Amino acid sequence: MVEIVLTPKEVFKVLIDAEAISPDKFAGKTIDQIRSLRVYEGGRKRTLNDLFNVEGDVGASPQEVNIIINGDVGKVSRIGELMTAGRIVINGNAGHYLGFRMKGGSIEVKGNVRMWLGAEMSGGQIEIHGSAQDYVGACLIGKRGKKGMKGGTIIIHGNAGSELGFSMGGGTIIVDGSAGALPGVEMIGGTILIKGGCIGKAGARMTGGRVVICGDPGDILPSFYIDEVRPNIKIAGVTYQGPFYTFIGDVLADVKCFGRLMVRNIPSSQQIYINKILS
Amino acid sequence: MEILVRNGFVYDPINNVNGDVLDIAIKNGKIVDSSEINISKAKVIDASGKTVMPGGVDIHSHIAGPKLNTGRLMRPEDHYVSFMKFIPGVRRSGTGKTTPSTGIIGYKYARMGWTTVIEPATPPLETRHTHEELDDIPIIDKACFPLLDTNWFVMKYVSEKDYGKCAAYIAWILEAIKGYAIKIVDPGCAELWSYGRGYNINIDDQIPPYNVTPREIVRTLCKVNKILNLPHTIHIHCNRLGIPGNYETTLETMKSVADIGDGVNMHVTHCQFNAYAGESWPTLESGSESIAKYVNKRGHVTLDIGQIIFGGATTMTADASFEFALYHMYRGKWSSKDVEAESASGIVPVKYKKKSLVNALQWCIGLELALLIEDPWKVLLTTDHPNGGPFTRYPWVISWVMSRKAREEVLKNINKKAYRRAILPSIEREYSLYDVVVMTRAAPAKLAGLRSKGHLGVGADADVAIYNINPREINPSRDYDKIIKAFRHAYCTIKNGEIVVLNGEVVKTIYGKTFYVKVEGMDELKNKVKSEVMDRFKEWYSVDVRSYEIADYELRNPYPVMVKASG
Repeated sequence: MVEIVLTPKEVFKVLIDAEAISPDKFAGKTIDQIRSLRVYEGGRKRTLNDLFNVEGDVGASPQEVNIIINGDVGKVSRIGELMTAGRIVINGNAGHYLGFRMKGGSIEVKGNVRMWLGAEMSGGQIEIHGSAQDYVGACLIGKRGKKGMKGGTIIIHGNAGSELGFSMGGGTIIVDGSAGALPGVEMIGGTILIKGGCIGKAGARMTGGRVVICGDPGDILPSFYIDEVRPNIKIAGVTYQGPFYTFIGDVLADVKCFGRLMVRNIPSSQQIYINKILS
Repeated sequence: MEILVRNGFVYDPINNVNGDVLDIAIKNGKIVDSSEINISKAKVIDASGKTVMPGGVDIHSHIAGPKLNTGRLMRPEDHYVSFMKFIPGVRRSGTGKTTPSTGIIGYKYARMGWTTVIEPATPPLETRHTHEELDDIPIIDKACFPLLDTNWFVMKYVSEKDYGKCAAYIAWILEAIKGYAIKIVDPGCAELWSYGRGYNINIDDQIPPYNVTPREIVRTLCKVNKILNLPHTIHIHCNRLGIPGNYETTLETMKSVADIGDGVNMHVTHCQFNAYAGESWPTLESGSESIAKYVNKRGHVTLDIGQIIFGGATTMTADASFEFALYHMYRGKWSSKDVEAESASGIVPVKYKKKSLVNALQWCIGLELALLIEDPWKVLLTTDHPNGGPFTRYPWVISWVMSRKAREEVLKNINKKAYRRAILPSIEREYSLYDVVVMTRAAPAKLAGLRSKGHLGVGADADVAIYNINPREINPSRDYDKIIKAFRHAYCTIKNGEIVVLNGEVVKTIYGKTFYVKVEGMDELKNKVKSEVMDRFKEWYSVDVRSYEIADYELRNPYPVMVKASG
């Protein structure tokens, strides 16, 4: 298997725009052509060779490109933007917009990532061994006909920040740790699974899709209504034991209430009320 | 830097030049006689076959202030529509169409050949912010009109009928916050809005707590304007804006000051929103004819049209109660704010649709006003940016007033009911290029009292716009596309004696002046009023008066206009 290895030459001090680091941009190029790809360091034009030691080889098509980044690229944004195939492995932290609008392939990060992970992605797989910051699988703010992540899978083994899956339309996000406030806000479709808890207001203004919270969900919005109790649910081929209290909503966004919020633990303040309805 | 603009067709209504082929000489930021410059050293711009006119003056465009900033925050979707790239050493980057970044405002105005723009509504308390933003706008010269109608001090003096003290207070506040003229927005309604009322307030309704009427406020401020000899007249946004049947209120407001002084004594702004006849929205009709009749007959009123443009807009006004009503029509985003003891404001993003009866009629009414008023010195071109539409659409408005064919092109697609009700389809009048220069340059400069602007005589500021229009070849009535194209991207814009735009692109960033008024005289009364203000200030405001006043050094380029108060 051919690999291309990128090692940062220094500790980066300013944010770097590196949409050039993507299997689609690398495919079919010689090592010298790859070294001369354009990146921006704080708005200044640089080449990839100015910032990274580039060694190795690539295949002719994106499927045959394996990019390994050894080192901390926590200040490097837009890695893997618009990628359609291939593989990126980052042995360290990664920056903003990792896998932005990606359509296929896979990204694996051994450290943490910053904001907008997998924003507007429509396919492929992202696995983060550390934590992610806000707006995972979201859409950019103010976009017309807004739709965030449309497909693919994001797996975060650590924690996630606020507004996880903001206006997400499809795909799956799995968080092993806990999430910040407003997971699944303005969600249209897809699945969010949070194995830990969240700060609260899960599924605000959601019109479709489902948010599953195994830990403490914080407070449940008053615009959600209890529908049923499910013994277990199945997500991405794995069955999770319940019971899961299933709420429908958000009635403020859509009276048809296609959104589903499933929680294992109901906050104690709402326990008595919900038990009364269910009995 | 010396510049010679050669062989252009010059339009300069103030100096009675109508399309003559002349040379314009520029030295040290001023226009000078051609003999004064050294032609071998000067930069020569060949303007043969092109039109040369003074830089545009816009006296009503919301370009700065806290409300604009809130509008920017509210509308992230607007930033996707437009983007201007950063060019190192030449210009900054920016985004936004109806709520553009400060940089874009300056560049786009300059690109169209406009060089002086006035922010027409800023609450005195928030004016420090307005000046910070004005300072950040490149290229253009600017000024701001503070909102003074619902100010508690003004209302107090109005209820006491104390013109002297009111004049002294306004003289103080204009200098303290570096304002330029008196802006009146829906007189008195902002005070009622703090009680949850204020919608549909007519000119003789009582305003608590001072029990004054809008009529009294307008009359007093008009008299004060005469006492202080301010360069601009009072700038009025009339009562009952955007309510069917409001043209009567507008006429009543005009009549209320008819007897005060001689010459022009009021400017009715964005009159289109105040020229509706009919009883409700479904029976809306055009009231432009009655207003045009009055303005044609009487010489004391000028107005600007406030033309709407089909498409997106962001309405932002100090008329907060109307914005509340508008929010209930559109059911989108809404922001409202109360400014302590002074004013209020609201923001609602809207979209004007061709197929909507009301919007189509609004479009017609604006142009009817422009075309039915015979004297172009009395009617100015604005879109009330960003309320009626972005200022970048001025070239289209120019084409509509210049060409019946261009109007018919739009009228074909509008709501059929509106087409039948409007007067516009029957109007044949077309503006000449000279009239357009009057409407967009000479008249606003003269009306705002900017003596060095709006003309190309010796001693004027060297603000020149050169367009790719050959008046001997182009017939604006037929070739309206060429007019739009030429006005969208000026061939060259010269600001303060420097070339800032060439071939429709910005080539240099400079920063213009900020005009403000300094009133001389009435020293005794001013001191008396100031001590009175100091006493009350602690009670009424949450800030100290020292934080309220803005010093000269806080502005990038302050330029005081001295006036002498009479009496």
